[in-house]
Amino acid sequence: MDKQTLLKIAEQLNCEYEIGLTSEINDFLENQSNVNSFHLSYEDNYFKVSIRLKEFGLTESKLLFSSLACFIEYTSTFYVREDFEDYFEYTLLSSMRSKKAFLCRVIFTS
Amino acid sequence: MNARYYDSKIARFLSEDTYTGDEYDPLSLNLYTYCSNNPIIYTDPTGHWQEKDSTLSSSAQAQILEATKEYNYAKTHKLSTAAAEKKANDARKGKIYKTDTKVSASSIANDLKTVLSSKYVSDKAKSDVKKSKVAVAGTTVAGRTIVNEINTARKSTNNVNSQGTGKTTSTQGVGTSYIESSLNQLVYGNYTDDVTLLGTGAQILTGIIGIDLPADIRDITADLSNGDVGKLAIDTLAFLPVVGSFKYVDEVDTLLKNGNEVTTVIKGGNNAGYKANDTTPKGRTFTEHAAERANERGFSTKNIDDIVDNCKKPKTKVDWEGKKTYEYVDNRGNKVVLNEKGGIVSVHSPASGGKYIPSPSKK
Repeated sequence: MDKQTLLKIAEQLNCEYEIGLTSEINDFLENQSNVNSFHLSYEDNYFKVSIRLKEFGLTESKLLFSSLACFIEYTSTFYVREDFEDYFEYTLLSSMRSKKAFLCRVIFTS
Repeated sequence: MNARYYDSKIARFLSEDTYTGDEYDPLSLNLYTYCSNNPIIYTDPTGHWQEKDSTLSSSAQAQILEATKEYNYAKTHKLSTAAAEKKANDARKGKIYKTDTKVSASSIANDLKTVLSSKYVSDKAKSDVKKSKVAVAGTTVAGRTIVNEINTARKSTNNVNSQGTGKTTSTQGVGTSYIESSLNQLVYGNYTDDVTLLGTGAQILTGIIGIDLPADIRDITADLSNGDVGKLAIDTLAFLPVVGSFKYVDEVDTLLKNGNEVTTVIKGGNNAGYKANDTTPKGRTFTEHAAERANERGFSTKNIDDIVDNCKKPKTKVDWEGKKTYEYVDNRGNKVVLNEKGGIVSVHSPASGGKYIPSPSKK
């Protein structure tokens, strides 16, 4: 599945800003030992999280992303990873059964 | 000593007892012992029986035989023999004990199921198991203590039930006598027809469906894990006759911890069914997001109210849209986030999955 397919699914859901999620993402990342720094914002209907890792690599990125997804997801979750030369970018879509959902872009850098 | 030759130096008969023994009375199976190794409470001029006991009433004789089994059981398992000695002496004084075992199997199963499956009582039940060490190593009083603890636990459940759901379950000591009888059977070797019948019935049933015997609390926790309610009920029945033995105290302790978690899932503790706009007892309203989180993370409305009410200095945060939130945290890290209107927007903790962290005394 590519990102466009995921975004098509997102069109059928009620993706919106959720202030509670802001608190959860902040608190989760503040407690991660491998996180050097991070920045969270909400732009264009996306939560956008940029994370600078102390030890950067695909494995480290996958581990942290899966923990984050586990922490913030609703009952249905899809995500797509795109690999770039010096960063990894995940696009995550998660939804409740009621179709309340959110989109989150997570970027891992060194 | 007319029946057999006796060597006083080694305190053993030199020939076998004519009485071949009782499979439930281990010491009686050793045909060379004298008075089941207990010359203090028995004399044995015939090799079987205290000299004057044959003049007693049949009920007194039956009680002495029961006391003998209890004494032997206690001796074998290194328990106090005081209760058995008292029982035998009381019989000789004409004091006959009454047993009350008229309790239905289903009510017992339901009662025990209530105790074992309640998230409020499981901890207490765990405590009861720990206290069973005392019961096993101790006296009749300790045995009664654990019965009382179980009943207290059950009453606590009913109180919680009646406060939480308006439903009340009977608390009229149903099962007490059966549990006592089971304890008597296992701890003191006191078999009664009802207990034996019920225990045997349960064991036959468990045999039919292939459960290892004897059933014990490990079976029950396994059933809880598998959500197998039918098998749980049968195991609960089969468990009762061995409740007094508590052979695997440490293992049971671990399993009960697991059982607590599983129980929480089965009983809906992690999925209380909160919805958007539901309120806590103090009138705080859930957003849809927060209700979902409270359900999956095990935050009850009471937990939420307690965290907010007990946190004197909430942190104020402002997001990039200028919206304020107030974060209330308890000393374990459980956090409740409220919006400007006092609505609940998130609940989480630093624990795995953001789950609610209970106080150490309730773990």
